[in-house]
Amino acid sequence: MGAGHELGAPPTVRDRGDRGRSHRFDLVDSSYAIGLMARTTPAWREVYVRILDELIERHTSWWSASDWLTQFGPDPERASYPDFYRLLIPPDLWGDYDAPGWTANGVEPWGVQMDPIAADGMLFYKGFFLVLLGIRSLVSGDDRWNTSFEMIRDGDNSFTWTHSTIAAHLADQWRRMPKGVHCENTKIWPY
Amino acid sequence: MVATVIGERNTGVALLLAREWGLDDITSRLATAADATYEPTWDTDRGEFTWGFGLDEEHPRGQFNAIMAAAEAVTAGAWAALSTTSASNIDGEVVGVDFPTVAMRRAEWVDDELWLGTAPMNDAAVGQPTSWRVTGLADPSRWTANAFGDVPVETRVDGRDLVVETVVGAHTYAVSS
Repeated sequence: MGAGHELGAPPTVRDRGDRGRSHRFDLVDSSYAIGLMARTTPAWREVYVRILDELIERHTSWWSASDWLTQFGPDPERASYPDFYRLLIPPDLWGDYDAPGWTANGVEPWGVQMDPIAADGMLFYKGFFLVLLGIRSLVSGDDRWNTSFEMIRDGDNSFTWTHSTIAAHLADQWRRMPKGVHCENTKIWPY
Repeated sequence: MVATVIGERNTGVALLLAREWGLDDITSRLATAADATYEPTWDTDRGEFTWGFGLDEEHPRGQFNAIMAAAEAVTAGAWAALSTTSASNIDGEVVGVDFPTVAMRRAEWVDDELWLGTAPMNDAAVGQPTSWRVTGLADPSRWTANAFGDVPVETRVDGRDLVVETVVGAHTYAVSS
């Protein structure tokens, strides 16, 4: 487990029943208000840029991808999902189907891919990270995150990206897969 | 029609979009329902406004508060403008504010004057000395700051910046040449 494990256990699918908890979406969702507030004081941006930088910095850490880096293969709790998942899981596959929230790193056809951005799936990770980076860029007017930075930072599982290379990678994935990039592995959401 | 909430996140998203699109009636009903249901709370010591959502948590729930904060901050068309316009290059910009003791409620250029409005973090901070800088002015020695009302304010030049020295409070300033 990477740095920061003192924060507790990574989330499980069952945690989805406790709504509004996610390390990653705490960061991304917070950027919306910051972007809007920054535009109300166009001649005072430094505090907003600082906050956005802190959000981005945290999004480069292991914890931002704790689901992807701990949820390998099919969910072992498939057979004990809460009943509310019956709304989302085909009846004939109940007990043999991963619920939303299980990212399923390593399942066919992709295999294990430790970089959540380079991964063939994990669309929501890189997509929402680009939203966060984009809001920061729109507020600040400078290009700080277009210099190389390290993500995950867990020994061999450290990966180098920039704002532009993430965007270019995702654009290339869409070109190669017009039907859509898997959000969680094997799942494409009409969102 | 009776006002009602539609879930913590959905209420925030709906309120944000209602304000973005100028749907005043829906905005009013959603805001009324949220105020009645989601525990809007001022921490007057920390100067922070959050929503409790009935969760009885030490730290207000992040994602729900994040969306509600965006809904509070948005004005008609502001969300679309955020995604379609870049930050403008500003010749004079405020830096070095002692946030959160002081926050800028207004900081914008109007007719070649920089208008600033400050807010204190709490009552205990009011009257304390504070300062900030205006950076990016072509010749800061030609600029000064005036406050509205009985508010002490002095300016000096430090390097390429105009330094504004004043006191914490809810004040309005005009920086002009």
